[in-house]
Amino acid sequence: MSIRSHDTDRLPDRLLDLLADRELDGLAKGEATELDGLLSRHGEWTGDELGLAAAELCRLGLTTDEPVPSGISEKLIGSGMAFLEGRAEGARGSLASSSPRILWLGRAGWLAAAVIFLIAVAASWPSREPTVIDRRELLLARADDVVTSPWSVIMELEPGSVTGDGVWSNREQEGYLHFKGLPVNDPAREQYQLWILDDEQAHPVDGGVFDMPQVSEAIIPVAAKLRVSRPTAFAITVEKPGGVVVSDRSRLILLASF
Amino acid sequence: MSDSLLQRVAANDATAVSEVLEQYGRLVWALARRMTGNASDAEDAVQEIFLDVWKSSGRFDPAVAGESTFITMIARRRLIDRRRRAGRRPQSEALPEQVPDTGTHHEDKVAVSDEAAHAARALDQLRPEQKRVLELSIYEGLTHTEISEETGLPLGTVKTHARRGLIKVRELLAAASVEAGEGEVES
Repeated sequence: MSIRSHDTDRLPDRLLDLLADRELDGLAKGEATELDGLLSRHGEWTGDELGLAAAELCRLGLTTDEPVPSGISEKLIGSGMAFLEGRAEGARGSLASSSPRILWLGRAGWLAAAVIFLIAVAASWPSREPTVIDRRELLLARADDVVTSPWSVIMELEPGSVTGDGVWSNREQEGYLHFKGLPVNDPAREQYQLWILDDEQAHPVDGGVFDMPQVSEAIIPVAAKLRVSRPTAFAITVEKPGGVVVSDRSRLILLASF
Repeated sequence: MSDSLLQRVAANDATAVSEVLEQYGRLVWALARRMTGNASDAEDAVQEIFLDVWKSSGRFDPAVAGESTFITMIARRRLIDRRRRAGRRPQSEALPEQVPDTGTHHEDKVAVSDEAAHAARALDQLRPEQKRVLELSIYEGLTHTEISEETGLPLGTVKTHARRGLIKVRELLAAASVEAGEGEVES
């Protein structure tokens, strides 16, 4: 390893604080923006210098006896290939959103998408046409404004029992919900409903009603009813079948804050 | 010189994806297992990490760091961000009694190499309070606030020790790499 030894004495304390914080404690969004601004004024620093040092320390004593579980490896290969494919398509200026499969998905609706594109399908990669999993990866690859956030349980469910995340690109007005461990619902009694909290809307934007199929893991495309301007969170409520126009939030079970 | 795996990924060489996973999958999985609470969280984290690895592959410069170091850095950032977003402390492996050396009994460890030896020596050269703070942060996975609670040090002092310690480690590693004739120094 070769580390270029720029003189840290010449850097402002605030920049060094933020660099160290990022590598050890994480940064809030505002701090990350501030760090980017400071780094742009100190072009001799890549911003990775302290991160690489922390990484060197971190690897000490780390045992790597345990292989990546095979199911995960397959997903990683699939998503990696999808990413490269998406990047190549982006470079060609041709987005996959024009594919017949995606147009069909738009007509078929949200619930069908949730059922069809179960995580189990990921194992069938590579396929010729993008699944919802591929589409999520393509979005992550091509949109530089994508925000992601893990789910936090608010009520009713066991803390930590539901994992996964919400993903949203404001520019593309496209997003996905990834759930692991969300209980299967009885659509005749109740359904899940997504709400998109938007700083520029007086009320949460209805993101659509969906069901959790009989699987442990699913990815569901977001179907926002209105244009989203400044999203701050995805909220999942349990509502009567068909959903509601305005939720009383009495059963707000999950939140992903951006 | 042939391109590194990450450089091939950056060039959209699809065959490099599985090679990266084969070579560094265990490393990332071990980091995720160390810094997350359970296998399910680790699985999500690993997917996020590798997505970031693919995205960041174009930034990788073999003249600056090894691939495993670069990937570890990306993994740590993702894991720390996840911890921050989740607002909870990850379960971590117990801190080793002593910083592991790089002797032959560590042959099953990652990076039994000159780099690891340099890192171990750098850590040992820190002031005790700096070393303690970095150990609690990096090996125990404690946040700065938790380190403050654990040690009784004011939060600002913890941050100062962390910052100065990390800068010192970087300087020591830079000096070591120059001594080894691996690189250059710009100042």
